[in-house]
Amino acid sequence: MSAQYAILKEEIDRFAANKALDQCIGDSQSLLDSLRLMEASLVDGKDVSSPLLAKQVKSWSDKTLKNEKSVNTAIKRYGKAFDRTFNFNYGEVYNYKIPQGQSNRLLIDRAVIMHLLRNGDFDVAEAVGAEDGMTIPRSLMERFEELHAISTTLIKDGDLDKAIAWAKQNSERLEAIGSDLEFNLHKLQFVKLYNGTQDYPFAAYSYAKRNFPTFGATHLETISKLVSSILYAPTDTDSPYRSMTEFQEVSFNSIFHQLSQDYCSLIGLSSESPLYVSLLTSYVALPNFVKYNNILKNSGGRLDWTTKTELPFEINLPSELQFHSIFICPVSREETTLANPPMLLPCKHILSKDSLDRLARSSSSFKCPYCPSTSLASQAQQVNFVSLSEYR
Amino acid sequence: MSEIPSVDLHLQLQKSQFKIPVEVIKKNFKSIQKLVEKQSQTTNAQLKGMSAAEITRDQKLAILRKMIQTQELYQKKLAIRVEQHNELVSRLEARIAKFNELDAMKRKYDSLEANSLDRETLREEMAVWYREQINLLIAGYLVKTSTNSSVPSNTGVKLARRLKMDKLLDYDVILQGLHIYNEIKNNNNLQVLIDWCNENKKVLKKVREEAEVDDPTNSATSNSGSLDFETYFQNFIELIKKQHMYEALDIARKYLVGSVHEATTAPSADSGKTAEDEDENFKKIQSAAGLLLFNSINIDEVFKDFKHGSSSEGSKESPLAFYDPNRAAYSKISSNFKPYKDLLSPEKWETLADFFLYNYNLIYGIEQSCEFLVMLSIGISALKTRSCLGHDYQLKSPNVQPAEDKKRLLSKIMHLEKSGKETLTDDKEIGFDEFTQAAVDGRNIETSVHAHNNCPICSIELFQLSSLLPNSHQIKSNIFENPVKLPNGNIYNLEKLLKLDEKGKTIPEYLMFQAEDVNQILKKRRVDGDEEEEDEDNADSYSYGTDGDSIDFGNDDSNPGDVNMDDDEDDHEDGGIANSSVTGPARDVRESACLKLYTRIKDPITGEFFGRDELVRVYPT
Repeated sequence: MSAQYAILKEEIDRFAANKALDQCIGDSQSLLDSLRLMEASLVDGKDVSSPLLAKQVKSWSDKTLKNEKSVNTAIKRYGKAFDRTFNFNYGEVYNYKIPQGQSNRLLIDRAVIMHLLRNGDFDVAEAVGAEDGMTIPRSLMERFEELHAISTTLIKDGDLDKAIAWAKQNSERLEAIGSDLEFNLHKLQFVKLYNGTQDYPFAAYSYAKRNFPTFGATHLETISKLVSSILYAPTDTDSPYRSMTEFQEVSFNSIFHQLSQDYCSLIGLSSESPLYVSLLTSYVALPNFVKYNNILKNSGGRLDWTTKTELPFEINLPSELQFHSIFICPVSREETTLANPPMLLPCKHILSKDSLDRLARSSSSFKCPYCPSTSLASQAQQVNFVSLSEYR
Repeated sequence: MSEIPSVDLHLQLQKSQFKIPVEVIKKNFKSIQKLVEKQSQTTNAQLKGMSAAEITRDQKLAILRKMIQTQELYQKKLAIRVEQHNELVSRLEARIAKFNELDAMKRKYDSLEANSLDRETLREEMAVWYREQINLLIAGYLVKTSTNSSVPSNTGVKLARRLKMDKLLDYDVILQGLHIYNEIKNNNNLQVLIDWCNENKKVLKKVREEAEVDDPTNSATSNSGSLDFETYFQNFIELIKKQHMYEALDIARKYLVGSVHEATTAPSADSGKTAEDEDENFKKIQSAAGLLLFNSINIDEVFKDFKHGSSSEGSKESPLAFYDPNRAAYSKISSNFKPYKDLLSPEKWETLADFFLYNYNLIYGIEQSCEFLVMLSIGISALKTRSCLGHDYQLKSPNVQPAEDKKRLLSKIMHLEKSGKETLTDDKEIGFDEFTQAAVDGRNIETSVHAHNNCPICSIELFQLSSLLPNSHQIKSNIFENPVKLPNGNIYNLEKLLKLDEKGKTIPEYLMFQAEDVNQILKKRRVDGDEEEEDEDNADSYSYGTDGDSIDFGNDDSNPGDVNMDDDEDDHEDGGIANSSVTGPARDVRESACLKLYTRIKDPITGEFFGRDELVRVYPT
């Protein structure tokens, strides 16, 4: 499938395998060696033959030119492969770029700084802020420094204590956003103990005894499985609980990811970096843009964007990248907005406000377009779709 | 898997990654060729001296030692060049290796079953790959926009080094261009530009020809002549400014007139294009020649005697000022002088700097537009819906009041959409206050945990920028299943609403019900009518239920004509419970727990409480 990639990879491998330039150094070295030998002979009082010297110089020169030519060919060959591979043009893929200007620049940089803070790149974040004359408030920095400290012990040292302490401290608030983080941390700690120690059953068991009862009401099923796993050795492949108790390095990364999301939610920010999500979306959406541009080019200028306020094509994003419920009025086929909200009729069918107004214009009561019942415009209620997956 | 774009597409996006090193390799290789050629000549000359007829051994030794010395020097220089070559090649290898990773992951992904656990793990690995690409985009943006063009203090380089992505970014090449750019723009340093033009004369010409063939409409190529013309033209102007007339004329003769002459006498084999260019250049020279005279006149000095009343601030002008003939003459003459003033204006340096950077980028294959900004704009438009931005304000909530400044911004955005302006805020307003406010509010869990969502467009970071870009195109409704409405107008998915309900969260796992179970139990309870008096709300809501306004819990004897009945559910009758595996005492426990828990429902966004029978099932489609 990936034809261009395969071609380019082959060409780069070939290009990198060409060591002719290194050989040029070797050629020079062997000439130098001969020259030094001759020097020694002369010093010893022997004579040297000029034709021999000329021959050696010529040999050096020939070899070097040959190697040079080989590199030249390789460069040209790569250049041709490059031209065949690449046809993408950033300049024309999307006409509506964020307009330039000082305030937009600052807004972008601010978003970049927030992204850097989330990643723990504090020095760079501060340097970017300093160049723009924006100071990152100490209170905000401290928040992310705390998160970063937890992440360092978690990922680098595989130490869960700091994370657990934080989760315990914020137990109520985590619960309020429906987060399982605290339990998941304890679970991971249990698995770590279970796998990590000589007297595995006792360490893990006493940890379970100390920490799991709080979660009995919510996670009893998982807890009972975990505790039952003590009956088996961690290495026992017959254990029915193996999938739960197998220790994986990647668990630390994913638990940190969850922690970082919850942490940001608790400090009033979106759980994932908006810059990251937007750019991730652009990779998914890009094929649509490329395709549209090709159609546009082939149309010979007959096609054009119908409206500047909206993209001219649909993009199907995966559900993780859909953050709002979209309601298209079944009558007008228009997306509802703040100004044209969805309205609920007494028969529980929903229309946009504009459609409702149009239906109700001629007479006070009107028939629902989808069922036989009639209603009055005054009976309709403005509603608001809230997709709870938008929220944590 | 449609949602993961092809490796080829990702490759296309990194075009410059595979171009820049090779352009430097080419340059480096030319230097090697020159080095070899020179060494060859020197050695051959030395060799001639060796084979001269009359030569003593001492002389021979001296020549031989000289030969060794030059060869050593040559080899040292060569080694440096070769090292540079290999380093550049290693960049290409490191970059293609990133795509090898992606290719391997994608192949594995496609071979795995959908929804398998391995696939999930792989998705996480891929997320790491994407995270790196995105950080690379950001580092690239910072390299290009940082005010610091020296390598160690450039913020983009700092980030790239921190994330160990040095090999993926040609910051050395990019920054070299930006350094010259800044020299021209900020320090009006022409010498550095002249040197660069001389160094790159041939490539400059070739690359520009190619660019014109590829893209004849590009304004940047067709607007101005060649970079060396523009450079010497500026040189000419600067000399005039300093009143160095002879030097100015010298430059004009050597570099400016010459290029026009060449073009008009040379047969225009390569179409009329260059001839047109040169024509344009000729006009420029003509206008600039006027400068030779103009600059010796100080216009303000000339008009100083009759200039009064024509000051730039027109507010204090006498109403009779237009009778003043001097004034009319002044404005007429000064408009004649305008082209000269433009030539002398400092903005011309900026244009020249831009034009240089365009050419520099062209030569090295650096993207003219900033990749990060293009990608960000695409992502924002793809995500932006008409429900974004205004979201918080749609929620009718007694507890959640959007911050005052956010409200103000919203009205600004609405105004902006009408006026079609391109910026939104004064620079002063851009800071981190909103973030710290959010962090402070975040402590008050009741009011704001749910007051924000995870949509990047609605985020503090991006929502102002998003308002400047088009919306996505939506043609299908995208509403969750089982929508139910609360009396305040908010519509939720029934299962999620029950699960998120404050009490719902503390339901023990073994008591967790499917929503249907709840319906069944509630229905049964209503039939039995035992515990009705326990809860006042229920007495009221029962009557709601009968007039068909309440959600249908399967109570088929209450209202046979109810339009929102779900017929399937009616058929089950009590079967829902009878069929479930839980029977006997366990069932009783489940039932009573469930009844207690679901008598009141909390709106998770607004925090309002409603009786469960106030839930209304709705039919959006």
